[in-house]
Amino acid sequence: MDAQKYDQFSYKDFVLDDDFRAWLNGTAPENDHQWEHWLQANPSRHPEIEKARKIVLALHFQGKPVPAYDIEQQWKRLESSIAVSDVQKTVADPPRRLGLRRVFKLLAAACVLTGAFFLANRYLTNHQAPASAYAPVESKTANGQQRKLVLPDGTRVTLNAGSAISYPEAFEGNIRKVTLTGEAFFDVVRNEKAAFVITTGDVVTKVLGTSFNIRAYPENKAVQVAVVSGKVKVNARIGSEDQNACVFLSKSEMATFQQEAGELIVSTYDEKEQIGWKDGMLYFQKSDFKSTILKLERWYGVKFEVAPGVRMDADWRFSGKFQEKPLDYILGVMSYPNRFSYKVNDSIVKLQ
Amino acid sequence: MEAINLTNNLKQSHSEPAAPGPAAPAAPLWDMLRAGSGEAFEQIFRHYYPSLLNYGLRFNKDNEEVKDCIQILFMNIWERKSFLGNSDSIRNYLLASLRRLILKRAKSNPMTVALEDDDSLFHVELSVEMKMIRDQTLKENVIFLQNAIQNLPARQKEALYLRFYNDQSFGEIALIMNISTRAVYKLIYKALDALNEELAPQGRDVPFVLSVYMTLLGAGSVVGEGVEVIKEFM
Repeated sequence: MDAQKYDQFSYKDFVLDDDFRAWLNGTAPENDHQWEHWLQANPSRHPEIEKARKIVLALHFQGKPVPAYDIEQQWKRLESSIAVSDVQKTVADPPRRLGLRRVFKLLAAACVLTGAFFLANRYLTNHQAPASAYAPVESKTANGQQRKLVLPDGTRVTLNAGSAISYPEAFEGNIRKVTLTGEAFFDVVRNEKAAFVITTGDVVTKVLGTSFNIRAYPENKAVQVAVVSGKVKVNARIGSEDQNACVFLSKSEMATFQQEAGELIVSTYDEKEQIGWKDGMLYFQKSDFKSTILKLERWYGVKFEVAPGVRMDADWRFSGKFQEKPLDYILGVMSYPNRFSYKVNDSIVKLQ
Repeated sequence: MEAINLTNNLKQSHSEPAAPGPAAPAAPLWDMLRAGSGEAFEQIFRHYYPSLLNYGLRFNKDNEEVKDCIQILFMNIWERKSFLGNSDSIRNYLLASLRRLILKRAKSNPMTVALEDDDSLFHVELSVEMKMIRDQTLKENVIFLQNAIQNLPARQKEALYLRFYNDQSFGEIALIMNISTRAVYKLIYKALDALNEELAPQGRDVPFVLSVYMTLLGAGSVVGEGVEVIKEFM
């Protein structure tokens, strides 16, 4: 310690002095003695030291610990994105900047190109089968929120508002199992050796590697699985344990399971209606009053209070596409012409 | 991986216990990457990812958005690896690039900008080191100061964070924030001035120096002189 230089120090100089901070923090105990004697010899510096000490104690920033599995996951994600971009180049596309969104869309296709072999190999060499079962991770969204997640295998999930997904910290063996309530879009990394299985109430959806949307909000009383790419197997339990209905879906097909009727129906679907939410589109198609309100509550994270005087016709239906519109705007469209007046206060919407 | 400090600040031993300061990998990694080494690329990613994520989260609390930005950053680096320049410090280069990217993307997404007011654009979390502060009055003092830190302008907060959490020199901070070294001094001095002003009306606590004397007395290493100083304080 170069004691001389401290004789004229102000509190700022002390705060910025590495040796001073080390002494305060107790990380350089070898200097304690010198500091103590310097203090004794320089009473004029005491007020400055006193200030500096408080400031140093206050400047105690906190970081967020980054778990090893997160680093692992993000590295895998980067690795597969780069595999995609390398493949594109060899396919003789002109070089261009890759938007992440584009990369995501191309991922499924490119996995086929690079061969499941590459990824499976990588996956297997990096993961020596762990001995114990991993703790489940649960991720939730409140009303008014959406969230993007990457699962341990690199699968991307977009969780819509008011939904929850749970999955193990790492997938083991020949199955990748997750549980969903609410709505989510999946872009599953292809792995022939480990099927990806999603459980939503009575419906089990099984895939190897595709992208698709699942809608399973409890109050809808129906589970919908809409496939964007690849093949998906949907299994629904009807009635007792061993009575199952099962369908295979491919691109552009949707399965709807009506819980009450116990029916599993295959149809085509309207892309905007099923997956528009991912890109900020709120979509109504002949929606009755009750479900319109529910959807708005979830999307905007608000609560509706409907005064008893507000009566909507029983056959009132609402249709419309709203791309990132404020709630006010939609209420304006709904109330036209003078069906009700509305007031938005914090997260309460009053209809009168 | 060999543990060599990459930053110009060689006073490694003085980093605070909570500082992230992972020892940086050896500098040849960067040259290996430029020569096309995937292994070097992976090492760099794994090593710097935690501090990048932590820094990024100061600008945007959305975990996934920050992770996306880190992915984009590294994809750009991989694509342009053969065009990369020399870099004295990989960490500074990465922090500066991530900062640019996050701010650029926040600007092009009006939703996020609308949600935040300017001064909250750099979020910090502060903690009180309980082991070191047993005195209740002092603890209140420190918490009071921490509130003041939270209310500082974003750029002052950022400079403090880089200096005291990341343990970076004024020159390095200048590079990362893309301002002159002089401007960094100004930011930090202004911040400290503001904190000092908050302190002024306080001061009911037992002075720290007094407690140091006490310990010295206890250890029997101070003679008469010290006792008189204590009387003055009383």
